[in-house]
Amino acid sequence: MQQISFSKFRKRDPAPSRLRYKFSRWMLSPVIKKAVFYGFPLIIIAISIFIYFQDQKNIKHLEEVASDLYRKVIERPEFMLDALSIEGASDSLNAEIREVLGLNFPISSFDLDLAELHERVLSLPPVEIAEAHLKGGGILHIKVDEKTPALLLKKEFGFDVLSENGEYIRSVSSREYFPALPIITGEGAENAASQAIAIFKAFYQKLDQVRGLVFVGKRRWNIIMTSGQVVMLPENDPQQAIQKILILDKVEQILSRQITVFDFRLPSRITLRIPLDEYGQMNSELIGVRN
Amino acid sequence: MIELYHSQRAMRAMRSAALQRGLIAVLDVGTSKIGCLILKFDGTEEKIDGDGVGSLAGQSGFQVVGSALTKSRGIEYGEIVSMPETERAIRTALQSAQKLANSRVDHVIACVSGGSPRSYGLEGGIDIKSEIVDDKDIAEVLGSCGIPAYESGREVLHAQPVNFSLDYRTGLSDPRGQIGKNLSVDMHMLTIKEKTIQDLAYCIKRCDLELAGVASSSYVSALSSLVEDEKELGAACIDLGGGTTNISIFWKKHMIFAETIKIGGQLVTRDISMGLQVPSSTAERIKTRNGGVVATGLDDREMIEIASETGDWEIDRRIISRSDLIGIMRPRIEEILEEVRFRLTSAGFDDLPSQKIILTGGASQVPGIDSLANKILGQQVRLGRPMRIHRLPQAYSGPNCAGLVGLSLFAAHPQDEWWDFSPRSKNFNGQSVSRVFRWFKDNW
Repeated sequence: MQQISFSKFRKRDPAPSRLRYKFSRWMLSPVIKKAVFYGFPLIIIAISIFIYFQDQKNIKHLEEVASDLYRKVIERPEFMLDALSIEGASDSLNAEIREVLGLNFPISSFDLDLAELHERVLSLPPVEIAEAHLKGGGILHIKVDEKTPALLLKKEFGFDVLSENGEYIRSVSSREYFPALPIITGEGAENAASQAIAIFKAFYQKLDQVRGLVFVGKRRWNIIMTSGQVVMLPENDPQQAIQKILILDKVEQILSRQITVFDFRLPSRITLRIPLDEYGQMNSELIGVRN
Repeated sequence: MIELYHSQRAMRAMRSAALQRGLIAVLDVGTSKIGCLILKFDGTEEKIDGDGVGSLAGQSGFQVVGSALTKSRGIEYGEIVSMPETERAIRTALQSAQKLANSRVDHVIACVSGGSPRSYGLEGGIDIKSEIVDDKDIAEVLGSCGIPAYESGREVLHAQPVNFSLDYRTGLSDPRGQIGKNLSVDMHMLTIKEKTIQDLAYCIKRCDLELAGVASSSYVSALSSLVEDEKELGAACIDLGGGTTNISIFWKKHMIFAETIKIGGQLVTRDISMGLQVPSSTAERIKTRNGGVVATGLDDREMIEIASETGDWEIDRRIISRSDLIGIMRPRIEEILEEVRFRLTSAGFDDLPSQKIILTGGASQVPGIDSLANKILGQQVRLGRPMRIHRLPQAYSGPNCAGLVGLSLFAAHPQDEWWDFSPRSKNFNGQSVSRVFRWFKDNW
């Protein structure tokens, strides 16, 4: 009896077994220690995150919360824009820019893509140069340089307003909007707009008699006078031909004569065409002029 | 000798590897307890300039991160009698210390108390070829010492140069860089039984640890208990342990004698156990709680209940007076101290200029032992406690842990021994490399 109880309460050997000792040392080795200290929590966190994101509802909810938070931050009054100021644009362009930007104020500056706005303003035909930046006090400032209208290109219906370089600015239905601008027409005329400008410049003394320029065969210009006369200019160096006309006009007043076509296409061989009368005969008055 | 030289050098290399890793364990395998401290070296060692010690006595570079004390098993008189039991006890101590340190240690420095150490005084001398003494000369002079014919089956544990003489000057502790012709050295060599140290090394190896150093327990307890002046002027440290009493004599900062007596505190317990007819655990309790060596009138009236569990009321409910207990303990302790006196005298301790005796170890905690020691050993007896090392637990600061603390100090700053000096290449293994080197030097 006594012995049984004694063996029951016999003390266990306090020494760790060899295996236990080795295991404890293994657990204390630096790599394992780190793996347990960092690895286990990491795994638990990773698993819980994984389980959480298995549910579509949770993802949606999280997205909502995140976007809510994002909007709350970006819609702080410090980041809000209240007005758009446009500098250097005419009223019509001003309206056009506003329309093209399509901004509903107030808007957060985070929602704006300045570069994209800049592109959009630049894409407007009348705009030459544009700058867009944020000004203090919640103002989006856009500065533009308009292209100056230099020519009217007559189309089948209405006119195109062109800049000096032949860039399209806008379309108008009637000349009345730009009465001062010279008119050009012809297929491909807009590509040779700068040449047309040069011709107009060279012909400035007689501008009031000019109705317009016609681009012929995509290579050379005809000047149509108000009197119905046609001056055919060469492809190369039309200015020189114009100089010749002007000199001839000064000396011989040929422009005021009854000549329908001044053919300057070959500068070395100027040809004039006189109008035929109703009988198909040449005007006798003019015959004397021929040389 | 050469094999020993290499194994000791390997242990030194192991120690420096451990210091590089920053963790090292010290293990005091005693007869009554096994203590283990895990030391962390953090490289914040104070620089000691000049000779002597710094303000922290070289204890600044490390701290104790783990500690364990456990009852010793399988050891009698400082020698292992049952390897598996000792191995288990070492495992217990190491595991709990490692748990406390929360890190694994691979290197251990141990101390041996048994193995009947024997001291030898060695002399050697050489003529110096170059004028200035350098490391090689020191190695050579140490190698020139005449090795005494100690019996086979013994191993050299310490071989410490104690004193250098250069021409007519003596008492040099470090002659390097000095100019002279004739260099001679006095060396103190300590041998112990080979088997003791092999058993311990085997136990430690069985615990997956590397032995990074071995020291005599007499030496290490003196390291922690003696102050610098005592080491300098001459003192004997008596470590009254459980199974053995270790004696070491220091002079001029070096140990010059070490000895072990195979009687200790456990003998006192056995006396009580036999005298009072109680189990030894009860005897140990009574000894530590009520023990003493000087009886006064008050002790006659102080009654001690001896509670045991034999089932016989007459035996279980005995009451003895403290005087009775002292009457049992005193003769045994007197015997120990007289034996110490005898050994000290035969070692020539009386010839030292200072006769300081420091009592330390677990048995030095018996109340009144200092006055008893005064009568037997002389007037200059004091009770020594180990010095403080950084973050040593309070429970380890008593004299019973002097060996453990001393071993920590030994691990941090081992004294230069014979094997710390590089030998001349002609005697040892570096031969082929140095020959190639010489060939290159001569031919290119």
